[in-house]
Amino acid sequence: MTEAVENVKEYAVYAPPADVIENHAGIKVVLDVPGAKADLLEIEVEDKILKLKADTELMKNDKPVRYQRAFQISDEIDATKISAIVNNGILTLDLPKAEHAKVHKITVKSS
Amino acid sequence: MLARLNDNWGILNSPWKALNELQKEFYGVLNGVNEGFYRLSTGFPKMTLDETEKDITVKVFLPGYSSESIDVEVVSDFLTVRASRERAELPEGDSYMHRERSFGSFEETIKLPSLVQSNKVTAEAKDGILTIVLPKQKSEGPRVIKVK
Repeated sequence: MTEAVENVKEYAVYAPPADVIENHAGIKVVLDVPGAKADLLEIEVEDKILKLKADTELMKNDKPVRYQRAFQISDEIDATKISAIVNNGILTLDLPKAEHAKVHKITVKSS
Repeated sequence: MLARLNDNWGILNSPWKALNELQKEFYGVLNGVNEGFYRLSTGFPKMTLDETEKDITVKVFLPGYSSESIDVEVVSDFLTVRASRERAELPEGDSYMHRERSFGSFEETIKLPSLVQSNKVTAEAKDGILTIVLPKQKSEGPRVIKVK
C-alpha cells in the first residue's frame, strides 16, 4: 500500500495510449512513449499479466516522467516469445500466438 | 459439438479476451482513490519548459513524428510548434482491435517567459522528443539618460 503511494509521489506516471492489432500470427500492441529509452524499459509477464514500465529522463512538475501500463494475456499468447522494440518514442510489443492457438489447415488426402 | 467449436473460434477472434487491461490492479491504491481514472485517460505530457539565466528549453512530446513534419516558429516572445503524423496502413491480414493513439496535426503556441534571440534558436528531435533551446535576449540594463 505505502509502496504505491510512494510511487505516486516520486514519479509523474502516465498510461501511454495503445493501439492493438491482431493477425493470424499474434497480437501487436503499439504505444506512444515519448522520451522512453530501451535501457530504461521493463517488461515482465507474471501470472498472465504483462506489465510494462518505461522511465525517461524528462521532468514534469519536478518529477521524472514514467510510463506504466498492464494487460492481461490469455493462454493463446506464448509468453516466452514476447518481444519489444522502442523507436522514436513508439514502443511495439509483439505477442505471438502459441502454436496450439494458431489455425492449422489439415490437408485431406484422397485414397 | 458444433456450438463448442464456434465458441473456440469466437475466442480466437476476440483479442480482448486474449489481452485484457488490468490498469486497476496495477495502480492499486491510486485507482482506489481515482476510480478508473487511468483507464479512461491515457496520454503523456504535451510539453515542458525549463528556464535558466541564459536560455529557455522547451521539450515537446512528439512520438513517431518525423523531423520533416515538424515546424518551429518564433515570433516575438511566442513559440509555435506544428507537426503531423499519419496512421500507417496495415498490411493485409492485420486488423485493429482497439485504437487510442491519435493522428493528424499537432499545433501548440506558448508565450515564452522572456524575449529570445530568434536567430539562435536550435531544435533537435530524438526518441520522440523535440528539444528547442532558445537563448534569451541580453537585458540592456538601466540606461542613464543625460539631461541637457
